[in-house]
Amino acid sequence: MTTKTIISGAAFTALSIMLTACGSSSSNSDEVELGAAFAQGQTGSAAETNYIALSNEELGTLAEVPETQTAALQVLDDFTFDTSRNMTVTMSIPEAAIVEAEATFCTDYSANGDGSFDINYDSCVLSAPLFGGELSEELNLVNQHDSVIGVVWFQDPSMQPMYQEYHFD
Amino acid sequence: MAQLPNIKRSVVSSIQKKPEVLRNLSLCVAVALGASVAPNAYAQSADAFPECDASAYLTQGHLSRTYALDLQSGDYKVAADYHESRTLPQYAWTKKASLDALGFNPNDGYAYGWSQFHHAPVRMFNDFSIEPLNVATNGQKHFYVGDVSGPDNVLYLYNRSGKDSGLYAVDLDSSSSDYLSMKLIASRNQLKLDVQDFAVHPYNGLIYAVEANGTVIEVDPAAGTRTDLGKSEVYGNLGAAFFDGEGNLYVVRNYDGGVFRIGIDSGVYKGQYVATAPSATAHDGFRCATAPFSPQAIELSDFGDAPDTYGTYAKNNGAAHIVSGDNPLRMGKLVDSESDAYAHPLTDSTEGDDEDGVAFVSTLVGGQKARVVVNASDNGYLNGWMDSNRDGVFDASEHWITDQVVGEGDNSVTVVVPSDLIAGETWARFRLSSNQGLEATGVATDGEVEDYQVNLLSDKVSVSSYPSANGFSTVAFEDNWPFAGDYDMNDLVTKMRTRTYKNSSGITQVDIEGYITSVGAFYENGLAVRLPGVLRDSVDETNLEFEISDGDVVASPLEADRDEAIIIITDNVFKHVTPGESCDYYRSEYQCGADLEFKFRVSIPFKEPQSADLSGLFDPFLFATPGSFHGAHFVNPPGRSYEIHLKNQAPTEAFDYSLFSGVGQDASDPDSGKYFLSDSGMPWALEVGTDWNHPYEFVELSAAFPDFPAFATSNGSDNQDWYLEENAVTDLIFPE
Repeated sequence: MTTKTIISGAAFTALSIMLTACGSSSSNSDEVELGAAFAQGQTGSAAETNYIALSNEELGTLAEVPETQTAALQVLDDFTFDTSRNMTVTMSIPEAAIVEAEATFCTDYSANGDGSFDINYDSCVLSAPLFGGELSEELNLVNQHDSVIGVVWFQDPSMQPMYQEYHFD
Repeated sequence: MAQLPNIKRSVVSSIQKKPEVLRNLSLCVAVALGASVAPNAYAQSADAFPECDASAYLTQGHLSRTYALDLQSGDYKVAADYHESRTLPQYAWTKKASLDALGFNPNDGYAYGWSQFHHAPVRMFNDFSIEPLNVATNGQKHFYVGDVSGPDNVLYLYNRSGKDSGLYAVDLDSSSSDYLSMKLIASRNQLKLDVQDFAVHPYNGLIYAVEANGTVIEVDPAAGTRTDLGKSEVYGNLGAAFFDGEGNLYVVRNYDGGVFRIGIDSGVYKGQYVATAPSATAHDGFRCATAPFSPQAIELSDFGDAPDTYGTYAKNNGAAHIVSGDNPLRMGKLVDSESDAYAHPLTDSTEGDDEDGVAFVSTLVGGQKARVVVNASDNGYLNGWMDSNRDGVFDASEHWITDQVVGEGDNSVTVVVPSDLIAGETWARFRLSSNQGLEATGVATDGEVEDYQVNLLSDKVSVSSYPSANGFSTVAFEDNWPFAGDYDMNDLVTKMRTRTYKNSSGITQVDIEGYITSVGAFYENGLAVRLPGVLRDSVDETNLEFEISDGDVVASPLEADRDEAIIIITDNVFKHVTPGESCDYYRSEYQCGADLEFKFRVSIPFKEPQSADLSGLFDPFLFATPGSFHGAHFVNPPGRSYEIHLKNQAPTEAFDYSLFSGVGQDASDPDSGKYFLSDSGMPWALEVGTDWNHPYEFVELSAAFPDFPAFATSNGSDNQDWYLEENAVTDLIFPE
């Protein structure tokens, strides 16, 4: 491995995190667990592995890695560094029970002050039809977005769009 | 350092065309300078370049796409998608198949250079195909620097490493007894050139270049000496160099495409900015050195982007809108001004996408009305076409918006989607102009054309986009698992977005698109996406669509002989990207920037609606390229059985579970559902839900993004927006 200088940040205080026991699997045990070539609990034997040795001591210099601040961070095993979160949005629009309608949800918008909104439609995350004037969906939003605007468009172009805002609590 | 001016998206006034007589010059009219004799006009061969035109030809990429560059305006167009070898089919080319050290020979009308694949000089013909020359190369394999001397009728080549490196001359005079001989005329130690390319003066036969530190140098090949002439104040890797007929040297900077003029004959050595060419990890190029700088005038217009079957290129009467004035009529904020189109899958959108004026705010369902919002800079007439039968042309019956009057600002337009559409991806074209009665092709005197790829639906479905309709998320990998790396998180970086189509019964289709933005690694890796919970047999493979930007698709990306649905984007990213000259990696080192080289898109319909929980980016993963070295700790190259997934994402059925042996820092525990995490809980792959700027090479994540440690150690409670550029140390992240 090429020797390289790793640029680290300023020293920081490492938080002591008590590692919890591994949580239960979130998968439904009745479903086919695609992605597991082996049944749970089965691992390969040392004789089967493709490694030339099975301990870092035996591997010697092959096991040397750069020392970095990032590698030393202590993180819970079940924390997956998600940079997005879910938001449930619901609509109940009586007009949409009479005239077919579709709702679009977007994250980049600003209010015009007259009840309408300027919307950047490149930021939209969902377009979905209303059924009987009702809609319930889950949005997956990246962390920097705290709110979304929902716009209801009617199949009758003479009907003005309707708007509804949603915020994370 | 000579800086590029703050260039806005160009809106260029019309340039009056020069008289036609200049376009038809077949001879280079040379003014004799110094003691050298001007090159002879060549006896035209049918396959030689037909005229000494003023374009500079730039070659880039591992299969060397060539652009014709207008030095005056910076406008460029593709001259050749790749260089067909007259001796080998394309599929035989490998990642080191670039062409370098190119130069135009005014004595015979061919271009000459060096092929990294053939390890030999090559002749290039007027169709940009190449043929290796039968030259005894003394074991030399690689040259990146070179040019043809018109006065001496030789190809000069220079390398600076390896045995017998230095300046070589290949005799190109077919009447000479030394024809196609290759001789070392000055050693590397004699000249000590720090250059990525040089150019030969069209009249005095001397060699000129600008070194990476800005020094302008002159090399006398006969004497084997170099002279430092002065400072250009142009710094960086200058991968292409040309002359014009007035004795000016032009150099093209790799990382930003800046073109600079150096006055060799005038002695004005400080570089003058001229234009911006496509940036690339590596450049080379050639030009008829005796051609004057001022090319024929060109009238710039805005063209569409759809495939040329729709009428996009000028030669096919493509839709074009003449661009003039400081505030031209347009849709959205941006409008291109160019001499020709960049038809899909090519793109000219690397500096800002001018397809920004139309928003599809509702889905396009057959038989339903859809809403389109068009932003116009001023009043005009809007026309639109939708290829609803997906036959690759805009039929007269598909003219779905006709001369609709729009005003300045956002205009909500209702369209009726044909009920007899063919569902799937297709193209739509919008034209705004003061002209009425526009067709889908042809020239308009003002305005803009914007082409969009859209998805037609036969039924009402909900369409979820992650992270958003036109945004990208980023997946960044360290590829040294099970050993912790340097955490610069740029060994493989890909931008991705997904779309999920769902009806009342389940998910009917998913789309994935993205591009590789960095490969800061020596290991050869592939990129794939698994669809969790979806069986391979559930995929409607007949109607699966897969596109890549740099070549033809020759096989389905759906991995064969699997139970799971796994999409192989590529089995080796190095097939698609090239490290730059004097760079070890692709887009991870300082001043090793370049345009994007590999984009992909795949649409995956299902035979029946799926109940699987498909969300986010599904399951992107890295795997070792089959047969390639992936560390001396492996007995055999692990190939496809080696994968790296996001933390706690189980590997696919192809993975060798015996690799979870506790070696290195890996703390995977399949029994507990823990995968690809270190003994401190850190991952080898991260998804950052935005268009993220990765750290420079060898800069660890915590240094480039100081808010990251608290985010990690608080397990996501603090600094949840750590990844935003405003929270980064700007000097430590690779600019987009």
